[in-house]
Amino acid sequence: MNAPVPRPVADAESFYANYDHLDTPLGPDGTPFAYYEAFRDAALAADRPVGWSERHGGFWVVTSFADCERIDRDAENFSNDGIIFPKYAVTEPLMLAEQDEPEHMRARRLVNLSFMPRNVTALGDAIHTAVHELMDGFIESGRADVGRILADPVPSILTAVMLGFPPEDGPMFDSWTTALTHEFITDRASAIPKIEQMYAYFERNIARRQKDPGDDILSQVINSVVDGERLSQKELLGFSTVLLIGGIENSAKLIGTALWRLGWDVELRRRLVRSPEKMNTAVDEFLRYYTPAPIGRTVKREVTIGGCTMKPGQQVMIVLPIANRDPRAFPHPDVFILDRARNTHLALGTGLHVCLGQHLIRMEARVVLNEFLARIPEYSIDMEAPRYWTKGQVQGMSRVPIRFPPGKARLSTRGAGVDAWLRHAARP
Amino acid sequence: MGITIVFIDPTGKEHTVEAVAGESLMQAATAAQIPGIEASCGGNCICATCHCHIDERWFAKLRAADTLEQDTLACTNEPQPTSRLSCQVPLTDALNGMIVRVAASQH
Repeated sequence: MNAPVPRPVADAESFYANYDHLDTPLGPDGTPFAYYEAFRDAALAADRPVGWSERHGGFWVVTSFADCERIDRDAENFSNDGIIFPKYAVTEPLMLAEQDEPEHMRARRLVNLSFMPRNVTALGDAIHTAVHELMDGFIESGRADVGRILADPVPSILTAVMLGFPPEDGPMFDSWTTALTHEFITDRASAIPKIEQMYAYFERNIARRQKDPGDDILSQVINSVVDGERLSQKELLGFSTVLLIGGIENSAKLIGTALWRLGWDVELRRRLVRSPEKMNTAVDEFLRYYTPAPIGRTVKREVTIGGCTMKPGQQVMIVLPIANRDPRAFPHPDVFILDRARNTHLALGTGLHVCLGQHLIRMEARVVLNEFLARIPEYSIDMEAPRYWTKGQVQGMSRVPIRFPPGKARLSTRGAGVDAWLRHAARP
Repeated sequence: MGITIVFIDPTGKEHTVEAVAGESLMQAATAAQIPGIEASCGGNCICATCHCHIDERWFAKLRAADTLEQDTLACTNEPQPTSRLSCQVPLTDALNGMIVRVAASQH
């Protein structure tokens, strides 16, 4: 249900009191960004960077760039325990994401190098192949839902490759991630068996790698010795889940939203078709302009921010989609500037908990969008088919139906992962 | 006493910055908003987004990189013999005038 977007002059108090990050009102374009802009304008006009929402039992809401950046970097006063709010339906704590120091850094060091630029670049070929195989599956038809058949599959296939799972299991990862992050809230009975299936799958795969390790990240984590000890079974399950959620959710939503924007913003699309090298800065501008998620913290020590005193145990949400449109940090914040200079957005976090996959998501989005535009430079949004904005803590355009002049398939063979996806995307 | 550092950004533009002994090279760069230095982890040697190439004349004067920094540098896209993560380089008076080239890309 879409609540009406309040007028920009409405008082900041009511924006804060009614803020629900899981159910942001959608505007005429099908996204919540008109609402975010109105919220920001009201907060600026009232000089109120922080407020209290009455939803979900009550929590602090922070909208200014400077305060969001400060909280993101402040591990003394804020705990990461509240990063997901309300918590996802995981039975084991999310490694890294929900951990504080020193446990967080101990876990981070185990996987950090695998996500550094050189190791991420090595995955470029796998992404390239997946994109072209997926495109071969629909390019001759002249229409496709590129949310379902490009934005969703690529991150799942890539996560499978990195964790050493068969790529044809990708559609299962997608359904588990959806069960954990969205379905658990909307349809708990249907989500629970999927979550149980996910943990069983990880238990089997962890056991297999303990006996017979491969060169994948999961094998590396399982067999690492930290402070003379190996990670426990609970920690390994927490690691698997965080790599799954972290690798799939944000990337899919970012790519889906970018494909939607490029479907109607002909000028932007043609500039990127002419100058693919501009995709580097374009991806960061997509991250800033359509920031997929706010993030949470729990107050550890009493602290006053924006004139509000936060007490230990209280939940805080830093609303990055609004902070990244703060005119004090970004000139012309509501304009999409392809080559924006010093784009210091917070979409991937900052400080100790900065996104582990930040190099990966940038490379992934760049390759997917450039390869897609090279083969389908002209396309439009199919207004007769449903578009869908997925709500929740991580948001984005997840159904992006398009029409385009049909092209020719390039490859004579297809990977098993791609066939599984083509079947998965055809589901009702 | 102030220290002068000359940063050359990825487009080739020079930026002369006044820094203070005790702060890190990354802090001097971000305070001056040097293009190409992102430093998204805030100086914890985990993100590899403050990668620089230090001019040879000054490289030898730096305290050597520890194993963690060396391992991280090896995983950047264009490591060179004089590569450093600027967050791991504390500034001292001996580094006055140092020339630092920001890596072409941090990703």
